[in-house]
Amino acid sequence: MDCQRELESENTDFKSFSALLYERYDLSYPKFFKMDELCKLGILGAHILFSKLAEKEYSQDTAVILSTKTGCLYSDLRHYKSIQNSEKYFPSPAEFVYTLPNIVVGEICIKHNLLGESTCFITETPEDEMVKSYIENLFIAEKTTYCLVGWLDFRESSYNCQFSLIKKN
Amino acid sequence: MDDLKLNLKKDIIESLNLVGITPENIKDDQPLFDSDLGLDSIDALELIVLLEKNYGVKISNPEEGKDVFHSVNSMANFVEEKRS
Amino acid sequence: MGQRSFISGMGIISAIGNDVESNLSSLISKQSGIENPKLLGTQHKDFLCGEVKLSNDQLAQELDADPTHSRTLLLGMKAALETIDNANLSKEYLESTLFFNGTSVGGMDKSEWAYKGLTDGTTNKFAREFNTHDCGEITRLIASQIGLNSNVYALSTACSSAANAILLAGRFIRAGIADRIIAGGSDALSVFTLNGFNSLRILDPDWCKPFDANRNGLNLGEGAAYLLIESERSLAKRSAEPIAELVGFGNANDAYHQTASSPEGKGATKAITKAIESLSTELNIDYVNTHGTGTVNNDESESNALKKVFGPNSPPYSSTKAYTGHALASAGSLEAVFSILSIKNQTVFPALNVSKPMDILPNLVLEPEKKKLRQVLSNSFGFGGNCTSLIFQSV
Repeated sequence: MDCQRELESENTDFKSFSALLYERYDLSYPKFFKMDELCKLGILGAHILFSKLAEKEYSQDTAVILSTKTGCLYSDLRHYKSIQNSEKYFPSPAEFVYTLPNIVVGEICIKHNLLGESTCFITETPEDEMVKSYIENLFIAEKTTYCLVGWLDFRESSYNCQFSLIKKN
Repeated sequence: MDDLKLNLKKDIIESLNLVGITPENIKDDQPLFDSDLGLDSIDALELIVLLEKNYGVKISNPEEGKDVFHSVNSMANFVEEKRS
Repeated sequence: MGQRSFISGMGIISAIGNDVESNLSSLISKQSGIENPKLLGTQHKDFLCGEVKLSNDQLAQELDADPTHSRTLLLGMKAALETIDNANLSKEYLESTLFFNGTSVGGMDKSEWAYKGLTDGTTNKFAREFNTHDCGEITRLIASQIGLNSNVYALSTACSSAANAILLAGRFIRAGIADRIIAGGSDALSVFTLNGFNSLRILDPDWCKPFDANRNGLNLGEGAAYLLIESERSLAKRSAEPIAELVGFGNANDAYHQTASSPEGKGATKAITKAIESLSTELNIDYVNTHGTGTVNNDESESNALKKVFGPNSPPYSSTKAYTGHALASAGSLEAVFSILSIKNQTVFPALNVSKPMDILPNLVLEPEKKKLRQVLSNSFGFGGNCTSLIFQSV
């Protein structure tokens, strides 16, 4: 079974867009509002994907393999700005937490209680042959039954989330 | 003191991104952690930053924070104490 | 079970030495590299760090490279070139070798100063300076500087990045997808990271003491290390000698918190268990090189995980982070090299700065000791709940 959801938007302010999807898909997850944009994007994608499935259609051992190009650049910039002024020096721990591209993987695993293999690749494009080989190998050699595979990229001007849930035949 | 408590509540809501919560939803003596607000260890650290940034009051040791951040009451008392 | 994965070369640069031999010497003589930072341009000179003792100028001179390169790039080049040399990997074979690199800082060390210059008008070269910010770009540059221009891959999973690069290499070789892979990671100290970790209040103001009952946090570090991992058939083709074998690997997510580990060590237990289940041979773990950062949280979580997996007779264990500091993304590869050195020298390396060991596990190693070592387990647990365990075996 292959379930694919794609959210792509241009020229729409992400804050409004994400709030709209939060309501429309009945996310009901207050932690969402503490996250950075990359994590919000990933959480929305995962939520929409999983909400279409019954619980038995994936398992706690579901692997989460994500790729990104821009990563957490916007969180990096926010943290960086907060440590510039030695007189007004108030770095935010909640912001710093998001200055790693794989935190979105962690957030998805926390929300959906997924304890399987997870990783985060930095790639130029969503289609990457190496990542494809890696995932194929997970199914063949690692006894993985389900894998959430995704590409997400956040930039203020455009944000992109392409997630699929793949099941072994 | 009431003004201080109201300001603290507004600041807590804003700095911890508690969407859908108003100052009226937070009682003065309500335990902030172990409650419906769903706060965690990172939020505790954010509150330390909040007190320093907005109220000029420093907590050097996160352990000290456990008592200070018990409720809005304890936070307000701490701020008042440090200021005098 | 598939092709076996052998390590036939390694390279390392860390706070305790600029190459494999000097790192080994420091480990045996209990010489820590943690001190007040001398090179990092931070105002927080009071935070002890595991700083590599060569400046960018010195690194560049040794490498005949551009001194304005990102430090992550320079460290990566140094360690990767030692790996190639150590493995006697000729140009002919290098060209068809893959490169898997883990990094979290990327070129941040350079961007953070360039940005400053951009805002106060002291530089207008910002485009060139920021070009190397990205983890993918730094990876590509390390590869190209050592003679690799294709089959280059970047991972970024925080503190388990380099360990995951090694895991990925093991997978690919076992599956017959590739025969020869340079895998590891590089991260330089940066003001960005130091300030960030300080805001999380997990830095020890003094020298860290992993697995001490009164431990108080971690010291940051930096470094780079790589392994040349190759299949049996590639070894035979090159008439190369293996140093050790990668016999098991496992990864799992803790699914608990963005930066803290579950107290019971769920993810860690699963990763270690998966590594054991993946063993291509009998289980004979004689020593554990732990993740052991020195934070109250990690060391408790990891101890509980080891106890769950091994029961009351948990193997001797220690952390080497009181030597090197926590070198973030590269930690997993630094410690892979240390695990292999342990096996090669049949010696366990001690925990440093411990006055009172924690009481969860027995057998915290406190002195270097010759020991029969068949397999060593190496753990790396990253923010985002990413837990990786690797098992190395003697040859």
